[in-house]
Amino acid sequence: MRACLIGSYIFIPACKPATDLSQSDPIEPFNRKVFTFNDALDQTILRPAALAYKETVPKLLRQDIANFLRWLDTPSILANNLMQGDLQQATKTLKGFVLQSVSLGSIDPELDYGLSYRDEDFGQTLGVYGVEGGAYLVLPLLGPTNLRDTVGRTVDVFLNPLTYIGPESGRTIFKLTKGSLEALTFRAGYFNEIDELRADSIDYYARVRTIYGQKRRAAINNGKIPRNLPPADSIDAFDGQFLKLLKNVK
Amino acid sequence: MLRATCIIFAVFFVVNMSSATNITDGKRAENFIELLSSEVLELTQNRSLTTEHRRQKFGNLVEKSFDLPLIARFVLGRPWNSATLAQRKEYLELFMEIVELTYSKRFMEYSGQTIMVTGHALGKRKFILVNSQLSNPTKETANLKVVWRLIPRKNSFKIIDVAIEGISMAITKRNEYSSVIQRSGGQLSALLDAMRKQIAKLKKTS
Repeated sequence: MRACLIGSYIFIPACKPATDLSQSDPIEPFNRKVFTFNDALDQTILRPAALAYKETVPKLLRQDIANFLRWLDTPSILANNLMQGDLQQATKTLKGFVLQSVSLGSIDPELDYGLSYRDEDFGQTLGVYGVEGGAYLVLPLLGPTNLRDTVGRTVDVFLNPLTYIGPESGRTIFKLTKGSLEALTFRAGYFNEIDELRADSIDYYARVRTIYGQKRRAAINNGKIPRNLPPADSIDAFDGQFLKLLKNVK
Repeated sequence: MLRATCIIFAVFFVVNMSSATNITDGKRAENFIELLSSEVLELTQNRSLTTEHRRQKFGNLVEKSFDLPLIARFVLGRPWNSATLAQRKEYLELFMEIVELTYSKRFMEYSGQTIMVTGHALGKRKFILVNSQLSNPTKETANLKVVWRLIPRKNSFKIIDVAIEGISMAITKRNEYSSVIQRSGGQLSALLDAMRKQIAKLKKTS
């Protein structure tokens, strides 16, 4: 509750419920420039690297790398499970972490033990307590985000014990390597989907912006349709607008 | 007293009746998606069809199952009201063509994904949400959660939206199109122009 109040204070413009299905983007011209820069980097470096990664590294090894990266994030995921009051998922996260640690990654908790993996972060935790996303942002290299999730991302860094281990130079190298590997595995994992998204768009920037907003909303609600939707929530607005159209058509 | 009992009985009866209808509608909606999925599968496996014939059959299936004119109007939103009749007509034609080209391309690249219906939920209003899982044996990524939004129509259903992992196709398109119009100072003609270019691009790659 306190988190919600603090969040509400920080995100006053964001807390105004969205009355349509779009997303707040007050610095769109700047965001578009960064987006073009990121897209150019993707096309010249990340995409070719992901293609090479997909073609040269065997599938099983790629899976191990993805699992290892997930494992590294487990402490902050667990902390967010607990902050969201989701004890059931916290138990799953903890069991998965122990299994992976003991087996040195040879066990996949989801496949072998049915311990479903769910990514959580502090941005989602703020969302669970009612903090809206706020202004949309595109960060160089890091890509689409919003005010709430940028704060969340920073808090997640501090929630992870790895932030405090080892000498400073080593930590920087580690962070850069982890970030690059995460980008590579993500691009390789959704290789065709991202290519199609780019090719099929008439406004690639706008499409990514809305997908980001919807994806975050789904992540906050853990894929479920929330029970107590505010009247102006997009799902309700969606139904309302469809109904209005149906009446007009008849 | 008798009157009150009658009213209570009538209310109880109506409530029961409506929930019974809803259960049937929900199950029927699930069957509708299952049937659609098996029809798609059958089309992809039918080796006797030529590519063009298969594409045409797939187009018919999409037209039969989706309420495309309604989706198109939802996607355009408010600018529909101020559009001229000629613009509306052209917009609808371009929209249909984009849908057909996009989906036929995806369909041709079909690589063994299967849809498994997992249940349904009744919307607050007349919508029925059919939940399903899209599994892809060749993919490294997990199964995708796909929710189909249906409305009852003439003893059957029409799909008005598909949401993959919480991302609604209709909302995505609507936000994209409204951005194009907004950036051109509210000109619908700019969107129509972008749609024409998109079709030319899709035709080149298909």
